[in-house]
Amino acid sequence: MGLLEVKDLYKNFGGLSALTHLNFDVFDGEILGFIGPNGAGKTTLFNVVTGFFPPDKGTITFEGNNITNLKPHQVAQRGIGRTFQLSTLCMRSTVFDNVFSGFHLNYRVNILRAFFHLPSARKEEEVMREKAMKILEFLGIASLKDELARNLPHGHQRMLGVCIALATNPKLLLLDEPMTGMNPEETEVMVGLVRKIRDNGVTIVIVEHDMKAVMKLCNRIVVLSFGEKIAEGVPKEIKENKQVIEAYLGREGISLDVA
Amino acid sequence: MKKLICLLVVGLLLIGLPMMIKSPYYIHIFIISGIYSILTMGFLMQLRVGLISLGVAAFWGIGAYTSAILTTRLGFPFWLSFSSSGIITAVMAFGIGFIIVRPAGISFLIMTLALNFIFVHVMGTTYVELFGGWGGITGIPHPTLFIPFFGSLELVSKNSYYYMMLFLLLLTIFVFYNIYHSRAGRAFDTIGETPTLSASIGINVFRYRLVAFVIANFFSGLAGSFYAHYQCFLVPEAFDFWKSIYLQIYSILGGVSYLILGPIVGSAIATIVPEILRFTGLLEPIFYGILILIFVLFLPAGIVGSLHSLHHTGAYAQMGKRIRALLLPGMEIHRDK
Amino acid sequence: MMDVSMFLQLLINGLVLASIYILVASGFSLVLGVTRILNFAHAEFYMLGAFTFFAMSGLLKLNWILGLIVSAIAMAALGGICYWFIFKPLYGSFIRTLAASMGIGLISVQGTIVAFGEKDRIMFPIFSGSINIAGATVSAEKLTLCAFALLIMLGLGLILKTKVGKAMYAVAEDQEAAALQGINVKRIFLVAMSLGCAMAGVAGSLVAPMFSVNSHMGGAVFIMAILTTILSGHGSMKGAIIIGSIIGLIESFGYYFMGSSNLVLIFFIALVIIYFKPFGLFGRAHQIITER
Repeated sequence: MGLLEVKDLYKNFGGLSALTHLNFDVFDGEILGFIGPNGAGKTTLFNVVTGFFPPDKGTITFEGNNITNLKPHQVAQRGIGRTFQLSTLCMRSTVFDNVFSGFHLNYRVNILRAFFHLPSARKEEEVMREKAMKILEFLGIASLKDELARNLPHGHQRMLGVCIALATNPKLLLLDEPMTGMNPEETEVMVGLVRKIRDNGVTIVIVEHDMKAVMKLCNRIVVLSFGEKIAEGVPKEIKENKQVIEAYLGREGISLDVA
Repeated sequence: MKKLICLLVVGLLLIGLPMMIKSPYYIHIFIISGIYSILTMGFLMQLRVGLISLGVAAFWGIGAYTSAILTTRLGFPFWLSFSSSGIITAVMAFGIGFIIVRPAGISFLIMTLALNFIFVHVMGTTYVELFGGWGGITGIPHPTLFIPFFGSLELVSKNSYYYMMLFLLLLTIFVFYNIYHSRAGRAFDTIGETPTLSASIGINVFRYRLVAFVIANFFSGLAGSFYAHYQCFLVPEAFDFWKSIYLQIYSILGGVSYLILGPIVGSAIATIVPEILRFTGLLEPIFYGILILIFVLFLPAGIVGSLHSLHHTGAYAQMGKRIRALLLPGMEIHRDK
Repeated sequence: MMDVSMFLQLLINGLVLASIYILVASGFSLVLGVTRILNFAHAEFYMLGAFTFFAMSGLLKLNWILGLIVSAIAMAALGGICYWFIFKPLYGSFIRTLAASMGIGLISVQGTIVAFGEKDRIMFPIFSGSINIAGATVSAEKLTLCAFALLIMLGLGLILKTKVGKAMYAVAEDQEAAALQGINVKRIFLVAMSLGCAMAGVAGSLVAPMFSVNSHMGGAVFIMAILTTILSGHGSMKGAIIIGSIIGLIESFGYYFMGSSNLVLIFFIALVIIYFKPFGLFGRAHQIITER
């Protein structure tokens, strides 16, 4: 049984079908990649799975529970974290504050105690601050903790997004094009980090255009085109799949031949 | 440490104010300014979570009318009607908020505007015996406080109202401050800046917005009750939607990022400036409008914001150094930052 | 029940109100849809347009067509100036734009009070006489207003089909994409703002001979116009016509049945509609982002 099971998913947007008859599983501990030409519906898929849009048909099951019609914050509570393509950070806050905000779900202390800033509340906050620092260190941007989010270069903003998602202590992490706009060195770093995250017990689903990274990183790959799954398998199979090559034919810069 | 001393000084000044300013008229200005501070703080709390409310005056009115009706029509004692106004306003805020908070954005804005409009109209034209119609309710009793072993104390003088207002203001500040510095406050910040991210990290955006809405309007209701027993009469037009709009202006004057200090400063300016401009007669609103435009265009951070950045860039320190250099030539004063 | 002549009277009154609301709301919706600016002083352009027309045709006895044109141009110019010097610098900050528009409103209202006094100013009807329809006496003035409103809306429709009009649609849809296509977004904003304010001004001018002109006439129309915009979904002209007509008719007939509580009825209906369709009945399903 998969950690996440998507069965028969359909999503229309005013006549345009964004997702059609989508079926796949995500298995515990793997890194699953989603690739496909632009407009294939990858981000839509994330949005539907995390509850930002309800699907028109189909079910989504996480850890055996039906999460199909849950709202985004409920999905997060179940243990699914995600990042976004466009920057959705608190631009006017520091890096540290951004990550710290991600701990929202972890508060245990009663709200009244928090209101009066009783010692138990303050202690909990201390613990969370330490955890936040640990996450920043884990992703290697601890030195930037007092920098305003909007002053960060693009690559670091992406990493901050990942930090925030990690702060929610997810079991499943959905990464939406985390390497966009990164140069080869930065991409290498990100690849290493994603592996580290998985090694820490988080299952990962990643949408990416950077073929090299995808082939290196993912245990399995699913290929989408126009909202439909056209292939699924290990990187070697996908590389040689005729349909996949066709879907990408004529697209600049995409070469599936990455040794 | 510095902050504490500042606060202490300000606190003493505020407490000692009635002894320094003898004119009841100016005390009245301060009292009104205090009421507006509370309303503006409520506005700003809603703004913080992304709700632009143009209906704060309506909840202010609900609190005021509730208190007035409970005391004049039903004979409730003051303390009971005061607390009831707050609670009833909060309950109504919850009910109304449940419907209009969800879409947020412009729909919310328009609905609060409509709400305000409806409120004034309903108070003016329906159930005239109960609500008093356009003439309003008169003869609202002064607040009577029961002090144990002392008996009851009726507040009549301007000064006593001033202290009651101060108490209410400090209570509001205390609650707001604690909320803003708690996890709810952090959630508010995140919701206000990026609702999408907030949802993805588990924040129930709707619930927190509703909470902000209810709390903000609870205090507006209390302020309304105070207002009713201060004026001792109420007319529906006092709660016109333009009042709600002016609150926005007060918050901009103070600086929208300064959730507690901003409203206080802004309301103070906004109440005092028209007094100063009063001599211009008919032209006063024009000057006021120009002032607003100047602030909005050239002082985006409001008074508090501008002072704050002056402080940060060390402009004050620079000024201080230069003045010292002028007055005490040859003496180098070394001071840590 | 009510007789035919009463029904017709109420109908015409309702259509008059509807025409006013449609004109003002369309202008407001145009500005909101294209520039995303919420101009709280929009109805004051209505009021200022009325005063301009009054000054031109009422005081200076200018021909009424000229008066209308002067009024429209004056409001367009004023709107353009407001955009260029006030709204443009503040673009991006929703709340400051809102506050600035209130400042403009304050100055406009008080300005006319200072200039023209507090009393209502009465103009003589441009079109005297009345028509008899099925026993009801309908003033020619009212019919002309409705006719004019129709003409203007048709004119607006034509304008929207031109290159500039299409550019406005593009900008309303996606500013970045429009800019990439070579559209000068700021200039389109200017056009939209001027056009919207001109429409409001013309509406005011048409109303001036029929009712009196006073500094507070904007306020009454303002709420209804905004409501029309919101309920129809900002950016939808067709919706503005339909909703504006409905509101005008409900107000007219509602007044007959329930007096001044008709406004409360309208608001309750609006609340219900907003609950089920937060983005209006005809609007697109996107939301204006109110980031500061």
